[in-house]
Amino acid sequence: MKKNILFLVILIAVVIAALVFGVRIQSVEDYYLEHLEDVQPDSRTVTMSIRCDTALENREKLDPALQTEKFLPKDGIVLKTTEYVLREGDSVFSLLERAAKHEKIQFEFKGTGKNGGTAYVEGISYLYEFSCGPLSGWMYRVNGKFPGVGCSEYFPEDGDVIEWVYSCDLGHDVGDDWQGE
Amino acid sequence: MRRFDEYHPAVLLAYYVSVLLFSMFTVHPLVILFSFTGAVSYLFAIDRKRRVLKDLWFYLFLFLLIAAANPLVSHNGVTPLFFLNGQAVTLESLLYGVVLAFMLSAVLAWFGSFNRVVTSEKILFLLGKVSPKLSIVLSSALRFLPLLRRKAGEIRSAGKAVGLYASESWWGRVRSGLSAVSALVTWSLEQAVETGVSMKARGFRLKGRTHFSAFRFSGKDLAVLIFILAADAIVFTALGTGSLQFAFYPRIALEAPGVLAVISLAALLLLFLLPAVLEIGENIKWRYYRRKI
Amino acid sequence: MAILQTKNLTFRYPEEKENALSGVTLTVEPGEFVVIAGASGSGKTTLLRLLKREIAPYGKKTGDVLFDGIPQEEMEERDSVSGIGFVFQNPESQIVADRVMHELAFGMESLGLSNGEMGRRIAEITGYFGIGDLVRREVHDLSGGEKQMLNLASVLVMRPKLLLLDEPTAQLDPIAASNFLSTLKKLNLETGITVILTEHRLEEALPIADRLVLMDQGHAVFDGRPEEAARFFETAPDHPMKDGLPTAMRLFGNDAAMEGLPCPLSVRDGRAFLRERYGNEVRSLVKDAGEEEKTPEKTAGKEETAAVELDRVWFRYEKESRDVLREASLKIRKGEHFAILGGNGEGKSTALRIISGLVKPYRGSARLFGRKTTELKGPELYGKILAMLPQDPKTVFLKKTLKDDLTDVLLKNGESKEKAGEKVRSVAEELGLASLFDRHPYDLSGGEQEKAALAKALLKDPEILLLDEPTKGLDAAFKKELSGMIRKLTSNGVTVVTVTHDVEFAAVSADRLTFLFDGGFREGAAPETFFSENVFYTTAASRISRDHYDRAVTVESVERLMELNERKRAE
Repeated sequence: MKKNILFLVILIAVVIAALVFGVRIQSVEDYYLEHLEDVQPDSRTVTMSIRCDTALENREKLDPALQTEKFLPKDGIVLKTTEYVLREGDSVFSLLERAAKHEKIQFEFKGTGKNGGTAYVEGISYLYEFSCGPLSGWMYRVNGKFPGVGCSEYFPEDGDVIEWVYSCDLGHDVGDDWQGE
Repeated sequence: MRRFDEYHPAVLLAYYVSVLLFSMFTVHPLVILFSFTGAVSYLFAIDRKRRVLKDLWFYLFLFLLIAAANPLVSHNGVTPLFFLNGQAVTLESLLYGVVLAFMLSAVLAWFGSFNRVVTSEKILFLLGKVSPKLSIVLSSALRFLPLLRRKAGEIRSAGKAVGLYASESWWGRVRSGLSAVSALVTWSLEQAVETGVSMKARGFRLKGRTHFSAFRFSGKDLAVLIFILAADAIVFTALGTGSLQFAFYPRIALEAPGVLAVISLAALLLLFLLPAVLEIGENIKWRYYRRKI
Repeated sequence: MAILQTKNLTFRYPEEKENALSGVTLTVEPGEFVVIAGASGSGKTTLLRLLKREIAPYGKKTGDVLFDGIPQEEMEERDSVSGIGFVFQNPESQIVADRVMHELAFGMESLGLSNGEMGRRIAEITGYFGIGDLVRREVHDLSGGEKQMLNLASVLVMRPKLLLLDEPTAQLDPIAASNFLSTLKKLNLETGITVILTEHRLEEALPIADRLVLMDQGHAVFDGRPEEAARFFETAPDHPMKDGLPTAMRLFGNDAAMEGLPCPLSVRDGRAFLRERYGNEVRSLVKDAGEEEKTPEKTAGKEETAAVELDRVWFRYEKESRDVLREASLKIRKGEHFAILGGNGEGKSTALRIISGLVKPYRGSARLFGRKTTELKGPELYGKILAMLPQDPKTVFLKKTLKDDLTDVLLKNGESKEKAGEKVRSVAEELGLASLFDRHPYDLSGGEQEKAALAKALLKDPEILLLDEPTKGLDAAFKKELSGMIRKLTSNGVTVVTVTHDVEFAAVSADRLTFLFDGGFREGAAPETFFSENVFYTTAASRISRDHYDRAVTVESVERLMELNERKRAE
């Protein structure tokens, strides 16, 4: 009994510490309250799209729970090509985050996208890496090429075309000839 | 019908292996619920209520820990409850955490009864079937552990009472402690020599050694074994064909389960509840008999 | 045909200069109950072990050993294993398995018996011994007596024709020992199994023996009916072994030999013999002034602080277990030898541990010279104020040679090497251990180990010495030595507290005794008072002379009374 009380105390202490040391909790509404600036003629912008055609093509490999239209858009478009204002210090990741919040698209990432931490996108719109076989996952193209760096390390420039694409074959099916290390 | 722990060790082994496998590798809320219920109710049936409750508190704590931890790591799921550090804490992942927690608790509870039911004697018996020599080695080890512990204590207090550790520095005491260990080793070696002689005197070296099994495999054992294997077969089939798949992400699967799924769930329920049912059944029987006295 | 024969058996251990056995020739008929006696080192164990091929010691052997007419070397393996059963002295070390049932099965497994047969035999033997409810128990739970019974049973399931036992009761308390011996006799009478055992406890073993073989330094110096043994002592009246003989023999052996009569062995026969031949005009030993002083009741009201005091002590090992000591009180004076006797159970050793401060009572206090043990710290308490000898002397030794072991204690105490060496030498000489200095403590005989442990305890000159069953498994000669050593210590003012089952030893050696019963102590009394008040739990001498003489509880006292009455008759 004593041991259990000790555990409980530790747990509570941890929780308090976490709360105190910068844990940000937002309600659902707050989170989605993302303001996007209006595109002005002189603003620097990029366009971004999110597509998962390959998942449609490889439906057999797809996680059974995802095999409904609710989760897999018929046309493979999760986000159609949209223009976004490029802010100071925006990385591909921060843009994705902004767009997702605004469009209420679910996504999950590992790591922190800020303060020098790298982020790794695990899933967008319930489509996760490995959801379509062991070689599947999300990748991004800028102006038709795969930069090969983490999305939080790539800082796009005015006019860049960013495409998030889902690959079921380590990139080969979306035009990446990168052989890997 | 007998009490669960009175069945043949092989049956018990088959049971626990099945039960643990299914609990650990079927992440289906109903399966886990059945498993947990079966494990805990059996514990209640064979152990003192207070002790089981104490354990349950521990399970609860573990439960909270894991249930709370999962949403922090997994943000999949269509129902976000709130957002933490920019990622969603979803109902689905919370539920998954809950199920995981139940699973862990169930496994722990099964191990709890395993300790009580599958005694060293039964393990040695099973091992003996495989290798009699190994069985003797383990049996001797089991025999020597309490003996050595007692002897170590004796050596310690003997040395103390003769004035050994008294006037030493901390370091000196450590060295004396080591001497005591060395003395224990010497003593055990002497013992072992005598034990060896005793074994030799009783023909340990002779060829053609048999193994005495205190457990006989009877009809009842066969019946239960067949039941277990049948349940296993059904469940494995269901798992293999994916009938027992339960999806948590992105949305909790609430479709009506197929026939195979229903059958295998029923089989699992019966399987998990078997020990508790047997135990309680025997208790009722005995109460009835005692009233006749 | 004799079941066992040895012809001129001689044996020498490797690297020893003397023979362990010399020319031993023995013939044992089937169904005989033979007791082999002798001092430690006389060769009894060597002889016994040589009778079974599997456990015969290594060394140089000449002469023959025949079992059922077949020379040992030519016997079939299986016959040798199953035909001769051997039970060893230490109840603990013989056991292999962790559960009783498996231990019983062990030998039979070696013989390759079927499951059914093994089950049958186990059922039979446990039924015969009445140990059926022990069968599923774990071995470490059993008492010493139960363990030894288990050892006997595990050997008997192999259905031997000859049973060899090496001091089987040495480590057992008197009741377990008695039980064991009577079981052996029962076996012998009811099944005709031949029994050969070596024993120190001749008081109980001789009356049931058909034959006695006395060993002395490797020779069989006597071989015949026990009653005739007295005749042997005519030729060697002061032979140390005499002290190990049953009391009746010690008292009446010479008389019986002179008159050509069988010597009484049991207390019952001794009583008859005494009454027939000795009058009791002088009924008790009148103490002269000098001796009177010894009776502590007469101590002229000196309110001295007791050396050891237990004041209403309550103790139990665990919260839920029973009290081992209940409001137990005790007062022991400085410079006396105080003995604590009592029935089974842990009470006595526990009392000693409380006195030594190793465990603390949950209520009540233990005091040494007025100071509570709870207030005394280790360095002061152990070694200087008191030292304790545990039941198993082996547990006291930490080093490889006796010399190192003894000097080690002093070196750790901060003494210089020279001083330490001096002290060790003087203590060793007093106890006669100098010749054993280079031996490993475990290689010493039981008695030598006890002495060595005693030496170790005495190195720091403790004022109080606690002894836990010091005479366990030791022969009469050693008990006499120990008695003498204790006397020397007490005359130097050392207080000695002994816990023992050995009634005979306590009667001779103690100044005062008490009995532990139901968690408490009876008032301490001198041996004469204590033992003469008891009818059952008392010395053989007391039982023999009761109602004929008063307060004669030792062999010496009875002898003196016999002498005095002889003289009376002659007057």
